[in-house]
Order: sequence, then C-alpha cells, then structure tokens
Amino acid sequence: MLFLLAAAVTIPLGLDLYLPVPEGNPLTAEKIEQGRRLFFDRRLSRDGSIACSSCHDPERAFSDGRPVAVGVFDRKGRRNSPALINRGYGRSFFWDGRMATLEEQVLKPIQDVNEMDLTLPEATARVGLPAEEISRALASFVRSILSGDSPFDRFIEGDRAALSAEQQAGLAIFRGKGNCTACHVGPNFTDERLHNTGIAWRDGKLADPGAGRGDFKTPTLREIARTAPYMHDGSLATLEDVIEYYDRGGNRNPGLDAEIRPLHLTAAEKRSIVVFLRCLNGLVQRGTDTAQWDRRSVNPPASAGASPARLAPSDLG
Amino acid sequence: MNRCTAGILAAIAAILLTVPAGAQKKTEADTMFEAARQKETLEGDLSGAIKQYGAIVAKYGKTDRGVTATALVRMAEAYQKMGNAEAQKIYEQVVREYADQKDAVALARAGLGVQAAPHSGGNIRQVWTKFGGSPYGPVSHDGRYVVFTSYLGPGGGRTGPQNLAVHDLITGADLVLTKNESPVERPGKPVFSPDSRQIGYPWIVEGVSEELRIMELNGNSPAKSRVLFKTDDLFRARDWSPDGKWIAVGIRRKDHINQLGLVSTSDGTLRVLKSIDWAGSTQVYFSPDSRYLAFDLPSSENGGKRDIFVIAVDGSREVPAVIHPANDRLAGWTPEGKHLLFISDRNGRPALWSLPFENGKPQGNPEMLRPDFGANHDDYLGPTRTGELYFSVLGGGVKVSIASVDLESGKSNPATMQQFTNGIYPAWSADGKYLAYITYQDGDARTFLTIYSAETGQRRELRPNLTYPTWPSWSPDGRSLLVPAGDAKGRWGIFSIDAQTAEVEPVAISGPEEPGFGTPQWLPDGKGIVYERGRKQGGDGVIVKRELSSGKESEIVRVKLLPNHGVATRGFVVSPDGQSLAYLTSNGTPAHTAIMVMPLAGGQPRELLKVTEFVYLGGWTPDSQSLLYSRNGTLPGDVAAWLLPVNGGPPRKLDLGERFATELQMHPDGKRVAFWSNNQTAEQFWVLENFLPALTAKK
Repeated sequence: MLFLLAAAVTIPLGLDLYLPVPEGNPLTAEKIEQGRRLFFDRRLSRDGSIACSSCHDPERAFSDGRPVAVGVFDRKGRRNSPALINRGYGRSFFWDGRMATLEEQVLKPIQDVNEMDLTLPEATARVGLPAEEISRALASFVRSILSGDSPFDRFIEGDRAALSAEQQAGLAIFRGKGNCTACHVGPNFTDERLHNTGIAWRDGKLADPGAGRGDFKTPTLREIARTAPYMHDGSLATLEDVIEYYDRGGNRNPGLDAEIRPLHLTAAEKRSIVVFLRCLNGLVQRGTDTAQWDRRSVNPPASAGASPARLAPSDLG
Repeated sequence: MNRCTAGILAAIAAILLTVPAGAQKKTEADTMFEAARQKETLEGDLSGAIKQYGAIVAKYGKTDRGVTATALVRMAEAYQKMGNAEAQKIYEQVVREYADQKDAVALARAGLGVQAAPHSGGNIRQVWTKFGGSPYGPVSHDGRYVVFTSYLGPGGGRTGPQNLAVHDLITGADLVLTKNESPVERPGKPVFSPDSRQIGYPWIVEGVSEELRIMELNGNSPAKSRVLFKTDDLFRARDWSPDGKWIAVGIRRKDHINQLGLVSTSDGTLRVLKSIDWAGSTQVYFSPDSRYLAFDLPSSENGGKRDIFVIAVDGSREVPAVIHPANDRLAGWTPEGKHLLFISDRNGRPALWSLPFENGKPQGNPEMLRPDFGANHDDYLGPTRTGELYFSVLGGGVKVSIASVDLESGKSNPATMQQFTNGIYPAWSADGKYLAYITYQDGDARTFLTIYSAETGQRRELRPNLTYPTWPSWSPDGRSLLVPAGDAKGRWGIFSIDAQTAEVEPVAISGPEEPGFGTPQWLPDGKGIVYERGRKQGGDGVIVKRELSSGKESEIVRVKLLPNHGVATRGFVVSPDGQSLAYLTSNGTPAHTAIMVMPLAGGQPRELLKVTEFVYLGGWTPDSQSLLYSRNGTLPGDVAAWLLPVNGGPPRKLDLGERFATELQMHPDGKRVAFWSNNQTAEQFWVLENFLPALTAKK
C-alpha cells in the first residue's frame, strides 16, 4: 500500500510530519470541506435528528460528554463516543479495532440502527453522493482533525517553562511508576493496540467482550481533559476516577493485561498525573483553514503551524 | 576502490586530515583532479568524471607523464565501475606506455587482474584491522577515511574514556579528534557531510543530555566542534543528506517510542517524520537525490527480522520497499539512486540483493547481486558515492568453555575441555545439571539463551521475547532464569524467563531517568534477588536486595565503579551459602580497585584484594570459601584466571588453557569451571568492490 501526501493540512507541533493517507483517497482541500459539510449534515440520520457531530462535538474535542452514544429516536448505544482526535495516525478504528481504515469506519455509524440508522442507498439518495464519495470525504475530514501544540509538546521541544513543576512531576510518574507509557505512548499517546484493562469485567463476567477477550483499543490522551466520561463504556466520570482505577490494578479477570497491576501511588502522585494530563490539551485543528483551530482549548498556540509547509505531491516527481 | 587506487588517491588528493586547509598550494592539475573526483564521488556521475579525466589527459598528455598516467588509471577505474570493457584497454595502455610510472602501472595491473576475474558480484578485500578500538564507521564518501572509537584505558582494550578518531585508509595514519577524559561522556556513531570535510556526531553525557555536534576535519587534534542540536532524549545520527541540508536522526523518547527525524544543518531544528513504535531503525540512508530516506524496521515485536521502507523527506509519502518473511538488512542505495541494496537470507543464506527503485516506488522484484554475503558481518558502513560497500567483521569469536580443574594445583585437563562457540555469560544451575549461557548468532541481532545439559550433553535454545539478555541466574529450583534485558516495549529491567517455555515476566523495570540494572542473582533460599541499581560508567551503584513476596527493596551497600569497569562486568556475586556478598568497588581513581566481601545481612566490608588493573569478578567456590576472578595477564590480550581465598592466603593462578578467561563459574562439584573466553582480538574492516557491474549486467 502506498501512502500519499496530506498536502492540505498543516501538522501541529508534536505530531509526525508524515500523516498516512491512502493512495486511493488523497487529501485535498475540496474533499475535506465536502467531508466537513457531511459531518454536520443531519440528513444522514433516519429521523434527521443527528449528524456525526452530534456524538463528535467539536466543542468537546469531538466527543459528546455522555457515557454512551445516543442515536436516532434516543436509542442508546453500547459504548462511549470516542474523541476523533488525530485519527489520521490510527491503525485500527472503533473501540474494538474492527475496522482497518477510516474510509471503512466512517460509513458504519450511518448504518448502525442505534446511531444514524440509514442504509447506504438511503444515505446516497439523501445527500446526492455515492457511498464511496461520502466515505472518502468524511474520512478526509476526520483525517484533518488534529491536536497538538500543547504545553507538553512545547516542553518536549525544549521550552522547559512550558510545564509547571507539578506537571513535570506528573510526567515523570506517567513514564515511570505509573507505567502509563506501557500503552499511552508516542506523539498520540496510544499504542493503537487492544488491551484488557478489566473495565469490562462486571460480576464475574465480561459485560462487553470488546475485540473478544474484554480488550479495547488504547485511546489517545490528547485533549483528554475535555472528553469525559472515560473508558469504552463511559463508566469513569473523571480523570481522578481513572487514576484511582488503575492505581488499584483494575478489575482482575482472566484476560487482564500483564501491565495492569497495583501501582501504590501516593495522593500527591495521583494528583500530579492528573495535572499532567490536563496539559495535553492543545490546539484542535479541523479542516484546512488554521483559522478554524479551536481556540477554546485551554492553552493558546505557541506557534501555529509549527511544521514547515508541505509540498504538493507533484513536487516530488 | 582497490588498494592501489587508494595509493594513487594519496598522491593526488588534498589530504584533508593531515594538512590544514589552505596549507597546500594546489596546482591546476590538482584542481582538475578535484573536479573529476567531485563528479565521481560526490555526484556519482561516472560519465562526467571520465570526461574530466579525459580532459586532464588531453592537457597534460605531452607535458606530464605522471599526471597523465594517473588520469588514465582513474578513467579506467570509472569505466570499470560502469562495467565498460574500455577499462581493460586503458589499463593495458598504461602498462604498455607508462612503464616509468610505477604506481600507475601497479594500479593498472591490479585493475587488469580484477577485469580478468570472472564476475561474481564484486570482489571483497580487507582494508583495515583495528585492535583495541571500535571501527564502527562510517566510511567517508570517497572511501578514504573511517571513524572509530579510541579508548584511553590501559592495555589497548575497550576500556576508559572514549574519543572519536579517524583512520586514513591510504596513509594508515590515525588522528584522535576529540579530547574527552570523562567516563560519563562519550561520542556516538558519526555521519560524514557530503564533501566528507565534516562529521556530525552525537555527544552523549550519560543520563543528562545528548548533543548533535558538527566538526570540521582539518587535520587538527582535537578539532573544534559546534553544537547543532540538543535533547534529553536518546538519539543517533543516521545519515547526512547529499544536498547537505539535513542530518537524519533516530530518537528514542522517554516513553520508549522511537522516531525518525531530520535535523536542519542550518539552524538545528528537528522535524519528526515518523514515530515508529517501540522498536526503531538500525539503518537509515538518504537517496542520492536527497528526496527519500530508506530505513529498516522490525517486521514484528517477536523477532529480530527486519523489513525496509522508504519515506519522502518532506513527509509526504511512505512506501514499503522490502517486505518479506526473511531478515532484510538495509545496506544503502546505489550511487545513481536507482536501486536499494540490502542483505537478505530469503534463499537460506545471507546474500547481497538489490531492489530497483525509481519515482518514489519499487520497480520490479529484488535480484541477488552476490551470494554468501553478510553471514558474519557486524555492521554496514554505507556504500560510498562510487559504489563500494564497506562493512565490519568481528575478528575471532567468543565461546563458553567448561574445563576440569584441580583447585589445589591450579592445573586443568585440556583433554576434557568442552567449548561452545558464540557463547558468553555462563551460569550453572544450583544442582549442577544445567549450564545456561547467552548465545550470539551470525546475522541475527538478537541474542538468546542456550541450555546445556551436563548429564546428556544436549543443548537446546531458549528464545525469550527480550533484547540483549545477559548474565543469566538460575532460580534455586531450576525452573526459571533471571536476566537483565530489554523487553518488546523498549523498557530495560530484570526479567524472569521460564526455563521450559521461555515466557517472560517483568521483575523490575527501570524508570525513564534510571540506568539499567546490573547482574541480578537469586538468593540461595529463593526468597529474594540481589541486583544493582544506578549502574553506569564511572558512577555510583547501589547493590540492593528485593524480597519477592513483598516487593520490598533494601540497600546492601553502595559502590563506586571505575570507568574501566563500566557496565559490562559483573559487579558483585552472592556466595552459595547465602551468607556473603563479594563486590568490586574503588575509591574513584583508576589506580585503586578492590574486591570486597561483606555479610549479606549487613556489616562491615573487608577488602580482599586491591588491584590497579582490569578485574572481572567470577563466582564462588561451592564451599563459599574462595572467589574466582580474572585479571589482565602479562601479555596484551591475556586475561588470566585466579582463585582468591576469602579467609586469608594469597591468590593462586589457575591455568585454564585459554588466554582470555572471564566470568568464571564453578560447578557445584568444585571440579569444573565454566568461563567465557574471547579471542576476538580485533575488528576487521572490509570492502566489497566492483559489484555494481553485476547489476548493470542483469539489466
């Protein structure tokens, strides 16, 4: 598979310059804009009540603040709406990682009876676009949703004043005693893999098998302070709850990941991890125009468009 | 480039390292040769170079036979690289018409010899053997210089503070480039600038920071350098772009993610191109047009095999280039940038392969350029701009031996000696039935364990999913082994390996700011382990005990390590009765190292032996009354075995029948000793020449 250039977006500080884009769906400004319109288009739901943005609210870093998604006719889904942050770097999609590409993934909620509840022919008829075009446009828009340039990124870049002493202490625990980097690694704070953290283990059984053994994909921690509640089922309301959960070693079960074990963190250590996690809020860029960057983020940009301007594909010959 | 050509180069090239810039007045012929070399070596334009050499012949043909003969030889060599039969005619012309130009004639004869040989993917020759250093390259783009690590330690071994040095393959001269006397600072592997007049290299201050420094090679020692880029993460310089604008670096972040990035040579800014998971790249090469970076990645977390990818330097695209179940090691690009070179064992044996690559994509299938190439290669130092491929080979080898020895007389019985090649760090199980040791395998970067049965003589492999396990220590029940190692997520620590299934469990993981742990050992009662924390070169270490039931850790003793003991030797050993701890320490000066012994439960340490030389601590005798150790012998490279009674009496030398015997481990029967011997006296530096015509011929 050949990946082509993401020429139409600017990569924020802290993210990889190389943004994988499938050869069959090159990223263009036109397609991103088309995808943006579709993303907010309520015609894509059976009763015209919801759009993609209903569960992936730009004001909440493209999550929805509810434990589980709510679809047409107030139908409740099974899982929490994941934040659509930096999904262009993703390797699999949905909480259980069942989709390999964004192009496949974006059509599924439209067809899910508990979400938008349309058949693809119906969706095609409503917006006047073939399903493939809907797929490519929505995937392109999602690919353009990028978060970076956070205080953490500026700290890594060498600005030692970008993180407070407590945030730096939290970072040290995040990487060390907390063992968070066993899964939350790299620029996007995820290993993009499936893990059984025990969260699906209820009353001696798996309430949700996830990918099969109670395992779910590691979510990004970018913008994490804006995407409560947490975990695949939204069962933990706050970041403090999440830290407590992991500190006690999760819910023991036969498939529990070897990395999940009691951490014995002190109260101060727990607090500092949470303080550190809040510094992962940065700039959320969507679409092609950096003026659309979400200024509601708690931290102003140090420098918009930190990475050099990209070349068009044709410049590579 | 062959040896004779190198000699001609010596006569005509500006000698970068031994003559300060500007000190030598250039003649017009020099300038013309330089222009031709520019075409040939930097631009890879052999046709252009041939024209330039032709111009020299035309200009000096009637006035300067020496210059003319030299130009003809160089022209022939350029033709030879292109696989053009014109080379033979020109060589013959030199032999026939320039008999008074002895160097040129010698070169021409050598060239004719190469021409006459049947073509089988080039010819290989050794260009240098380095004793007591690490010729880890790279080679300059004109194939003249190679950078190596120079050690200041005693005995010519790899001990003591490290410095960068450069070896001139033509004159044989060495020049130390840096002046470092600190045990906690060291250089990393450098890269050459496109004109080979500068190097970029990491300067590592252990546990503090790493800098990318640029140094002009102008013949001065130490040479001046400037800091281009600084980080508190780990990084390695990988390649310098042919257009001079970027230095490709591999960065290992504190969350253990590896990244491939570019540092601007103009302002030192870093652009991260790609984050590449827990495992990183080992080989990265710019394409000759500077537009692409080829790099390798492990094909999975569970094996040492690699695949090869190419990413555009502007981050715009990436393409898998060599994806195959075999182990594919990147070796670089051909000078014209139309082929990737790699070593692959896809046909059962390592061989040199090429993959056509144009317009940002692979074109067609790989073809074998040379069979049986790469089995014993340590590292690839990159092809030169003229198409020679340099590589290093470890000379000699390491092996584990088991010798029968009479501790009273100190004599061993050579007739009963057993030896296992490629083995290091032997360890007997408590019942003496098994010997575990670490094994290196040619062509495989990963090490594994071998379990030898002293009863049946059978050996089996144990391949845990760990990187670089060392110093195995058997659990008292013989069911598992402790090792310090790295795991699949790039973390370093102590791991327990199931002796039957090779399943791995972490026992202690070091923090991101913490150096790795040293030499973990089981307590004989099986209730705890002892290991070293904070172990790094020239630093202070702490020997700690951990109770396995509670995880409680307690400090036993603090030690100070000498620079020349570093992290590569055993720092302590627990007695078989579990009562005593022997360890190495120093007062911080190179002239004072001591073997100490103290009660494991705590108490006053006693100095058993004070030495002023390199010491390897071994194991105890089964009765816990004596220690085994090794120290430098009287001859260079000798490391002799000794027995040291802990309750008085002088040390006694043991004759184990090997000049180099370390990590002495006594069998519980007190009659056999296992040890690791190293006759790896040198690293060899080789070059594969004239293999590109095979590529041309295939086309």
